[in-house]
Amino acid sequence: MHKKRSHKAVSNIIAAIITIVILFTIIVPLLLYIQNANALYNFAVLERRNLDYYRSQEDLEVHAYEDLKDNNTIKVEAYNKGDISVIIKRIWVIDRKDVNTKGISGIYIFEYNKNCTPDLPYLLNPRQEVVTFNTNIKAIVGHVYDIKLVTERGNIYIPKESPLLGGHGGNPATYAYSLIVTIVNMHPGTTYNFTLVGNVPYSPYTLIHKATASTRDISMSFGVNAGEYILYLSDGKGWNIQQNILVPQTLAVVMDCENSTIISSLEVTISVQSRGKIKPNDIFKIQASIKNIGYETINVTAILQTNSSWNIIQGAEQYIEGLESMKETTIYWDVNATTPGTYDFWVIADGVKSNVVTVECREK
Amino acid sequence: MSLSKLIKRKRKDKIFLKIGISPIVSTIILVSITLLIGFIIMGFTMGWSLNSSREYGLEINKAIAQQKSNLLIEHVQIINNNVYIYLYNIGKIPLRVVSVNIFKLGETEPSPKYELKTFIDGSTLLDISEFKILVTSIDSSLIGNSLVIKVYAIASTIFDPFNPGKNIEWGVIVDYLYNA
Repeated sequence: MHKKRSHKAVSNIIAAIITIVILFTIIVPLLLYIQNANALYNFAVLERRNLDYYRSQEDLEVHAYEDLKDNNTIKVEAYNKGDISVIIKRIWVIDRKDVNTKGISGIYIFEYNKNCTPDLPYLLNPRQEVVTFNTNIKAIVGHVYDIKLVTERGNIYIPKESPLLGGHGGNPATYAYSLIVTIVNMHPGTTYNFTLVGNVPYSPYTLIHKATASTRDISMSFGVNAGEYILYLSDGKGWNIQQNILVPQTLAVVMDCENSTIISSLEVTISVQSRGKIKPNDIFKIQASIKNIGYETINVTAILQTNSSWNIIQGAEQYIEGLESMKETTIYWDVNATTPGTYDFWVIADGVKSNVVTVECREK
Repeated sequence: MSLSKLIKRKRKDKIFLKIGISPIVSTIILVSITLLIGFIIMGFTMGWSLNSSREYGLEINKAIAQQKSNLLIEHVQIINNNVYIYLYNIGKIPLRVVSVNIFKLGETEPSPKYELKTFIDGSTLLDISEFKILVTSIDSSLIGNSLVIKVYAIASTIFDPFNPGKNIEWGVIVDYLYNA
């Protein structure tokens, strides 16, 4: 009996040994491998989280300006107001106009050994003194420059002065004057381009306006500093006009688009001047007030009209020469009627119809 | 057969049975069977274990590669029908760009087509901290519109040259809004 029990236990022990061997040679290494792989993954996640965290902690104050005292070169100022060091990797200066004309060459990227002073990449410590990067790019008058600064961790900072206007020299808020330009008699449906060019700071340098029936006369404003300017106006179809402007001596300019079809802007009112009742053959006056509410001096032809055969002594048509803008004039017609009745009068001045007055002519 | 003969026969049979297989042989047989079954189980377990660890390792590798992948589009410029995309690898692993998808702002993104992209310098690899330009052409109907530019990149360690779109779910997708 004892021997039999002993023999049976051998296979059990072997089975147990095999199970333990499997456990230690296969399962445990597998678990260790998985744990190790998880640790590597967790490390990668942690590393990424740290990178993202540090990226979010970068805090630079960046400004760009055109240095008028240094040959109009574009300079970028950077100040690290954050709590961690920042490596400035690249500075971009993109000339929008140059891009249009020369393609990709309009982009200037400053990185290692690319003619930027100080050289990049540049380590900027927290609250270190402001560092000024001289790009050595001369700002051209009328050109617009987009500027951005890229850090090693992947943040992009765009100065609030970007886009920077060439020949500008500072913040738009520093313009001393507003140059008001009035354009009249534009052709409805035509798109006009206005370009202001000067050797002193100004903004904007170009404007586009599509004239409609209600916007054929407009006034526009340019922020300028004192100096000499030329305003170019063209319709994109070959017609163009230009105006030299001296600021501040000439702050308001009127430019005529030579549109021959001038529609007058007039206000016309008429009234009857008479004492008591009007009898046949009585002469009385009809008064018309004509006001020019347009922008320019005009000549007006006014015609008195009626629905009957009244006798207008000096003729129905009167001519007013040189009626200035926002000025009013009064003209009269002496009229009389031969037959009794009720009659309407009105005046048409350059196509503008007045109110209608009714006159009653009675026998005694 | 008489009763006495029958009893004798049975006794003989009993004796034969008792002495037919020795205890040692039976033990060896049992141990052998146990070992055989044990080795079979061990073989299966080992195979499963190796396979599982290999697959797990591959998946973890992809996940780690994704965590290390990071890309920045610094600038986009459109000249004629060409889009110049300025890419900066801010991750911790070299990248390969496998797709650039450009569509109008507000429209649904078309399905990306995966193919290995070549940078302007002729290489296909964007190494760590490297800054390169990618040029791709666009349809003329897109010009003049505000566009969304999406760049799909995969870590070079999990990139499959025979199937560029493979593992894209472990890649990095960055987009850039281009204002007309």
